[in-house]
Amino acid sequence: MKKIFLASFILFSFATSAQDATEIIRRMDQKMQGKSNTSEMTMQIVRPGWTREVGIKGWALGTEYSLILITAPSRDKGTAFLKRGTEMWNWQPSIDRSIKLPPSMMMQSWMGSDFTNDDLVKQSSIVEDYSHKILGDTTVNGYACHKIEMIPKENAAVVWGKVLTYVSKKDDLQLLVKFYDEDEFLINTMVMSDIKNIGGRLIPAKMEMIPAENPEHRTIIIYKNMEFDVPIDKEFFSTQNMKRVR
Amino acid sequence: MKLRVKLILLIIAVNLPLLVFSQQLEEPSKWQINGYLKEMVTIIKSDSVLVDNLIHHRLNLEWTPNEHFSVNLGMRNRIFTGDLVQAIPGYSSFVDTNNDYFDFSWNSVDRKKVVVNSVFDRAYIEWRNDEWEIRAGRQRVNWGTNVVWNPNDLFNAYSFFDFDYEERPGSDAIRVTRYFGFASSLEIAATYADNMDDMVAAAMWKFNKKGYDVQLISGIAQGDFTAGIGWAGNVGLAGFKGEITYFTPYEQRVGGETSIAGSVGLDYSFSNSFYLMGSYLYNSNAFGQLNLLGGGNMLSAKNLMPYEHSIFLQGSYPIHPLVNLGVGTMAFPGENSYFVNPSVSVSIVDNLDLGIFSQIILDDPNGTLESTLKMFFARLKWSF
Repeated sequence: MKKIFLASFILFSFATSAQDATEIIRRMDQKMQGKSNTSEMTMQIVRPGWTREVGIKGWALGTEYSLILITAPSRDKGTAFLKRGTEMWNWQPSIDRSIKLPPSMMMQSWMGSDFTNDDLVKQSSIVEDYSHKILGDTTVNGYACHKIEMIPKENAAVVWGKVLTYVSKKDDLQLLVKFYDEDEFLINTMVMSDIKNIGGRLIPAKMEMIPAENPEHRTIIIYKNMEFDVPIDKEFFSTQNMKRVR
Repeated sequence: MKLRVKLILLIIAVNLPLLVFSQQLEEPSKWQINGYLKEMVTIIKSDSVLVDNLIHHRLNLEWTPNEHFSVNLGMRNRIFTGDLVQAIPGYSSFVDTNNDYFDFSWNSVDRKKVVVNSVFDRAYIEWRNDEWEIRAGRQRVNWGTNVVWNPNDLFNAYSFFDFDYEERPGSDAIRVTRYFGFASSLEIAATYADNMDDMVAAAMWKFNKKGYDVQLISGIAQGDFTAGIGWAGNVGLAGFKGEITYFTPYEQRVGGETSIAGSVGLDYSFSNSFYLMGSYLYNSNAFGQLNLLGGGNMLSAKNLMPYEHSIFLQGSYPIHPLVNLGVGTMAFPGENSYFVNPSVSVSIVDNLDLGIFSQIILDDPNGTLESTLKMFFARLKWSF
C-alpha cells in the first residue's frame, strides 16, 4: 500500500513537473508567436572573412501556416516561401512560377545560414512535438531561469535528439537553446538577447545561432518589427498571395 | 567615337528611371525597379575556337498605383561583340528575333563587329482583387510544373540550353484567372494572332489534392487540339513531378501528326544541401538535331528535345556557403550522344555573382565517342 502510494506520488510529481514544463514552454511560445504574427527582420550570416545579409518579411498563423518574403538583397528580392501543414512552395518572380518543394528540403540550411528551413517556417511545434521536463534552476545573462529538457515525441518530424531550453522565470523569455543530435552531441546553440518591447510585448529582439563545430560562425536574426494576433486567416496563405505580398 | 557615344547614351537612357527613382526610396510601394547587368565571355570550341562577349542589361519596372492595378515593363539590352558576331552572316537579324505578334525588338547598333539589341519582353497591365486576376499585354504565361522539361508550357516553351535567359520571352496575350482556394484556380489565356494556326488559346484548372498540386489543361496550340495533365507532389521525402500533353491537328496538314510529350522527375535534397534530380522526357514527335546555339527561341512544348527519349541527371552541392558546384548530364537512349553541363557559381559580395559554365556535346561521328562541341561561359552578374 505504502509502495503504491509512493509510486503514485512519484508519478504524480513527475506529471506536474512535466505539466509545469509544458505550460512554461506553451506560455513562452505563445508570447513569441501569438496566435498569428507578422514580422520584419534581417538575417546576417557571419563567417570569418565575410558576411551576408538577408531582409525578410514574415506572416504566420499558428505553426501550420507561414509565408516568408525576401526583401533584400536585390538578387533575391521578391522570392517567397509558403508553408501549409507539410506542403511547401517557392515563388520565383523572375520566371513567374511557383515551385513545389520536396519535403526533404525542410532540413536543409536556409539560404546558406545556420538555420534550417524548418527553423524558419516552423514545421514542428515546440509545444506539441516534444515532451518537456524541468531539470532545475540556473541563471542566464542575469535572469533567473528554468532549465527545461525537451525530448521529441516518437513520430514528430524533428531532427534533434534533445533540446535544452532556458526560460526566464519572470516574463517567460526564452534566453538560451541548446540543440543536441540523437547521440547527445551538441550541434547548435541559440542565444537570445536585446530584450525590448516589440509589438507591445517584451521579447528578445536578437537571436544568434552558433554551430558547435565552428564557434566563430554564426547567424544573427534581428527583429525590426513585429505585430501579434493580427487578423489573418488561413486563406491568406495561398500560392497567389506568394506573388502579391510586398 | 560615334558608336561609343551611342552606347553611353543607351546605358544612360535605360538607367534613367533608376537614377530618378532611387531618390524616392522612402516610398517603394508604388514603384518597384530592379534588374541586373551581366558581362559574359563565351568560348566555343568546335573545329576552330571562337571567342565572344556579351554585355546584358535587364530592367524591370512595376508601377502599382493601388492594390488592384499595376503596370509592368521588362526591358532587355544586349551588346554583342566577338568572333561569332563577325563569322555568322546576318547575325544581327538572328539576334533581333521576335516570337510575338508585336515587334518590340530592335537593333540600335548593327555593325560588322558589334550588334546592340533591345527588346521589351514584358509590357502588360494587370487588374486584380482577391478572387480575380486579369492580365493583358506581353507577359510570361508559365504553365510548367516539372523541372527541366515542361510539355504543359504551351505559351513559352524554352530550351534548357539557353541558360542565360531565365525570364524567357513573353507572349502577347490576355489571361484571366479566377482563384478558388490556396492552390486552386481556373485560368484562361490566349495569344494575339492573325490566324488560328499561329494562336495558342487554352484553359488550365488547378487544384490541390492529398498533398499534390494537379493541373489539367486543354485548348488549341499552333494548329493542334491539345489536352494535358501536370502534377507536383512527393513520394516519401522526394519531390515527384510530371507533365503529359497530347497534341492532335484539327485539320489535315503536311507534317501534322498526333503526338504525345511527357516528362516525369524526382528530386531530393539531403540535409547537407546536396541536391539530386532526375528527369525523363518522352517525345513521340521527335525530329531535328541537338542544337545548343539558339534553337531556344522557336521551340514548342510539342518538341522540347529532338530525340524520342531523353534522360537528365543533375547534382549540385555547396562546397562552401558562397560556392555552389553542379553537374548535369543528358543521355538519349538509342542515340550514342550525350550532353554534359558542369557549373560553378560564386557569390563574390551581396548582389555580385560569378558563374562559370560549360556545355559539352559528346558524339560518335567516327564510331568512337568524342566531344564534337565544347562551350565555356564565364559570367559576372550584378543585381540591383
